[in-house]
Amino acid sequence: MHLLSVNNLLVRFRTHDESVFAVNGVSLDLDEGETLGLVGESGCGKSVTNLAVMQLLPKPAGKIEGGEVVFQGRDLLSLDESEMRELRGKEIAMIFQDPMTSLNPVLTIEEQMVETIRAHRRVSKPEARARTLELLHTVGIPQPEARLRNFPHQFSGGMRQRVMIAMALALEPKLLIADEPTTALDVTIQAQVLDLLQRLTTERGTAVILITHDLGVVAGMTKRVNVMYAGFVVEAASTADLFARPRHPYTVGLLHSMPRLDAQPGEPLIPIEGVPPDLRRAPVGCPFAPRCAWRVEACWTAMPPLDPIEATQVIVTTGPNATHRIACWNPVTPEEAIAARPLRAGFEPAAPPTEAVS
Amino acid sequence: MAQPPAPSGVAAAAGAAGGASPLLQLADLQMYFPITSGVLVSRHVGDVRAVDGVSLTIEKGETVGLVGESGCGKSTVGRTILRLYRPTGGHIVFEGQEITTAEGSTLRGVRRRMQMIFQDPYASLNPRMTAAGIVSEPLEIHGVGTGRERRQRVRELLATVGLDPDYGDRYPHEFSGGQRQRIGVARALALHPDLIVADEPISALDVSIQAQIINLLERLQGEFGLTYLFIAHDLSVVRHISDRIAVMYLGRLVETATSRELYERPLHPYSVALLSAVPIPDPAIESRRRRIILIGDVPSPSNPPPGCHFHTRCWLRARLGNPERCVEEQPALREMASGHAVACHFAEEVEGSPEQVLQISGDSPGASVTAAAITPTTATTATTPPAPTPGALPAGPSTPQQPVPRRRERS
Amino acid sequence: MAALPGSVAVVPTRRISRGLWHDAARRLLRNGPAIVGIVFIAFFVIAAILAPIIAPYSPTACTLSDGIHGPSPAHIMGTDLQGCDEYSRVLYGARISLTVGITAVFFGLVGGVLVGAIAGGAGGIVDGVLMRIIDVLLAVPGILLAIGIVAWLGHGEIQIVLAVGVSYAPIFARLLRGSLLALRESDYVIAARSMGASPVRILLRHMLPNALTPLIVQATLAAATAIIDVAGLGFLGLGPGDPRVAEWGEMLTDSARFLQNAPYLILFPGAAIVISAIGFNLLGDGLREALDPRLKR
Repeated sequence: MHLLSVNNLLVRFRTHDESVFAVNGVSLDLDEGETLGLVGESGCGKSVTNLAVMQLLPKPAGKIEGGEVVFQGRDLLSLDESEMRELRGKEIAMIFQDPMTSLNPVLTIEEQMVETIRAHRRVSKPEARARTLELLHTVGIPQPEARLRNFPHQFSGGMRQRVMIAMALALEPKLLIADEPTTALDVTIQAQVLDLLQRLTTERGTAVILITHDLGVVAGMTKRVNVMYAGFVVEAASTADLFARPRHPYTVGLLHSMPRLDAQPGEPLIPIEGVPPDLRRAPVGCPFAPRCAWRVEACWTAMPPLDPIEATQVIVTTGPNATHRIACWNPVTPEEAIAARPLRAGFEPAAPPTEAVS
Repeated sequence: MAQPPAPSGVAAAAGAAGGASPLLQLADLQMYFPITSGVLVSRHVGDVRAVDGVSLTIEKGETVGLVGESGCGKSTVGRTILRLYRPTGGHIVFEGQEITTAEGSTLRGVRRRMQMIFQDPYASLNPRMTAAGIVSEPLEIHGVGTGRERRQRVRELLATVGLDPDYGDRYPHEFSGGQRQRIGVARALALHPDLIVADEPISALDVSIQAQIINLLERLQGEFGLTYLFIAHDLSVVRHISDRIAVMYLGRLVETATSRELYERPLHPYSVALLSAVPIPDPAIESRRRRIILIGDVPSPSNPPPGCHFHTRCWLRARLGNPERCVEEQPALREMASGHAVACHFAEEVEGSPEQVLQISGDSPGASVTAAAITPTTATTATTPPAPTPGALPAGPSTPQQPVPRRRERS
Repeated sequence: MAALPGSVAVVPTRRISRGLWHDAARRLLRNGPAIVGIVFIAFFVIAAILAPIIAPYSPTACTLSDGIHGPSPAHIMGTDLQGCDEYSRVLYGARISLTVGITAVFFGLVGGVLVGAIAGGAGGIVDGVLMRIIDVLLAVPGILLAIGIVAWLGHGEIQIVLAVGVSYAPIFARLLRGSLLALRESDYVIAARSMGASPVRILLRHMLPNALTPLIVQATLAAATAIIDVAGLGFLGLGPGDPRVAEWGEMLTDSARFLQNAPYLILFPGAAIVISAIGFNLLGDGLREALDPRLKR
């Protein structure tokens, strides 16, 4: 049984003005101890998916309108708030991009961490404090005794993120969701924090969902990746497979449009043309179609399902041998993946149906 | 208009470059921001030394990348060059003209020839002006052309940056982030400047849009003969677009070199650490890399460490047994090879060290489709490195604070 | 590589916006409470303008012998001590309250914007001195300041306009100055500087237009309290001075002692003050939401 199973999740944000179709049928599985990367640009739904899992969507606008979320065999969507509160922190923990807003600025670190621990465990204050010290030491905060009395603003960005990690791991959760944990940090600090995160989660066997837009981070930190676009998972594969044999045009586009530190000088970037999708329109067909050089007629009218790239008897969704799946009517061939454009003779991307706008 | 004599160092550099005068020269530029304290009367209690002695030359037509992490002062350098601040010390010489203290109409004249592109596409456009109005403003300010000529030029500029000229009457909030950035670029181009300072022009954009803007900037450089100072924290991007790179740390330059040299042969311990920290989208390479984890945080620019600013976090210093020289003496930027300058007393030790050589995987190719697209003929390091043996650590004094290059384990 | 139809030049063809004021107006008109506010204000504005036509009596056509009477078919709001028709006086009173109130706010706005712009634009010592003066003025409660000024200048509508206006000007000045200081650090202002724009141009073209929206909201809300202030001055006997001129505050003074016997004499002018003030408040809140530069999409 998987640790976490998300099936066909649908999330909308409804205001009186408009609706935002944030997550449009996302399915993913996660086993114990695995690190899954969730990759995509802003608006692709990666954060919203995880907020939905934690049931932390902003109310009243955010609504889960379909699908199920099963954690350790329990249907999370059927739990009420107090049951979810039991789970949060203890079984599932989350760390966010900006620790300044997720740490309470008017409480000392000691107060916050002790509170978190004692909310879920019957321990005395001195015991909780000792545990806090231990955790701060583990995450590499120098002189933890002195810093217990500090407020969040007295820490640097990297230190704050370490405190966040300490708080998140305080209760030894089974699942840690890290939402862009290092995006706001300098690259040398990012290296420190990611290193710490990887070490601690490996030691403790914590499963991790790492949300990021940085494919470099994904390459170094994860074993499996799901690529998201406009609220859909468009490609799911092991990390090695995704980079070596990407099959979805968006993934190929992303890989070729990012400058690599070790690229040859003068190596051209091949951008993905077009603009990000407008999530206020209900998706019709594949949302990537307007920007896709491989599109065919079907792409404008129907969203392809997430299917294995080769016909196979068994679909494995987790682990190092996970089946490589994509949601595409016209996948990219290996040669085309290297060239970053369709190579078939006479192929032209299908024109939009007459009444559609981009 | 009398021209004050350029500082001697500047003249020497100009002579060394073979007579062709560089487009921009910074000589020992300093920009300090005073810290005041006190209720009724403000006392000057200290300075934030945002820029603490930067010397840099930019030749016409090249792209110089200025890279560093937050707080290093690179944005301040850019803004000081544009004279948005008045330098606390040092000299700025633009096209042979000393502009360090220029004011009034002199400065206005200079401003026509250098322009800036800003980081935040949302904040850099006046929300109450139309796109055409924004692009036309530089022309209006400097009285270029008649109304009709200006309108025509605005249309041309919008088309040049890839926007439909008919959308000129729309407001910024009707455009996406990438399109707004294009409007900003069009505005910067309006007066045919010689130098464009791009201050983190793509950091706020989505990854798939960043490449569009990078390509646009490169194309425009070719078309209009522009010179760029490209300020960014993303070393991958800077390496891609720049001919030369200058690395800054806490207000000072620590290394300048061509992009290729910097990547293949970094000579400053900070540059090595920086390069090793940048993630590469290739799992095979990432698993082989040895990251140098710097200890601690960046010191505050209002209270920088004495001597070499980097010494508190320097892995090389720790390796060498904490020599006092790093604390007592500020290292000068010295030429180690042609066009490659480093500010480190012990830069020779970096050369050939395992850290330098192993910050990118040595000779095995990556396992990413973009790695396959890279022609595998060129060796990526100049020296022949020993094959990285897993677990082997370079010998050195085992002091507790020595940052050990650790092998990243696969999770 | 062939250019794709989804290329950068394409922006959705139907315009989602038609100018910033237009957008703001649309947002405003979708706001229920704001519409209520507009209705209230419109009601009194029309009353004020059409008073001579719709008032059944002249406000000064008083029959002393009638004395105080409750609401009746002839006098739907009753008559006051002098026998004047309350309803007509309320209608005519709208003229004073609205004109004086709005003019006072306008006057305060102009003064405040000037001072605020100079302080925010000039900075340095000029700013420091001006702000200290404003601090002093703000330390005095508005109504006391107004009382002091009227006491000094004497009765009359113009004097009231000045008094109330001066009591609001410091608020506007500080608000504008604050906005200007914040805007000065905006990237587009810096961009204008880097293009060589003159400080005047930057102030007029870039800073003021973006700083005015909080002022507009504040001015509308100030109109609400200005109406109350004008009535307050009238109540304290510092009104326009001419006892024959109907003014809501004075009507309250005259009727205060009849609270037990003839509460309607207080009720109607009081309600008029309150409703018109609420109207401006609702409109002000609505404007705040409508003009909010949430223009990041």
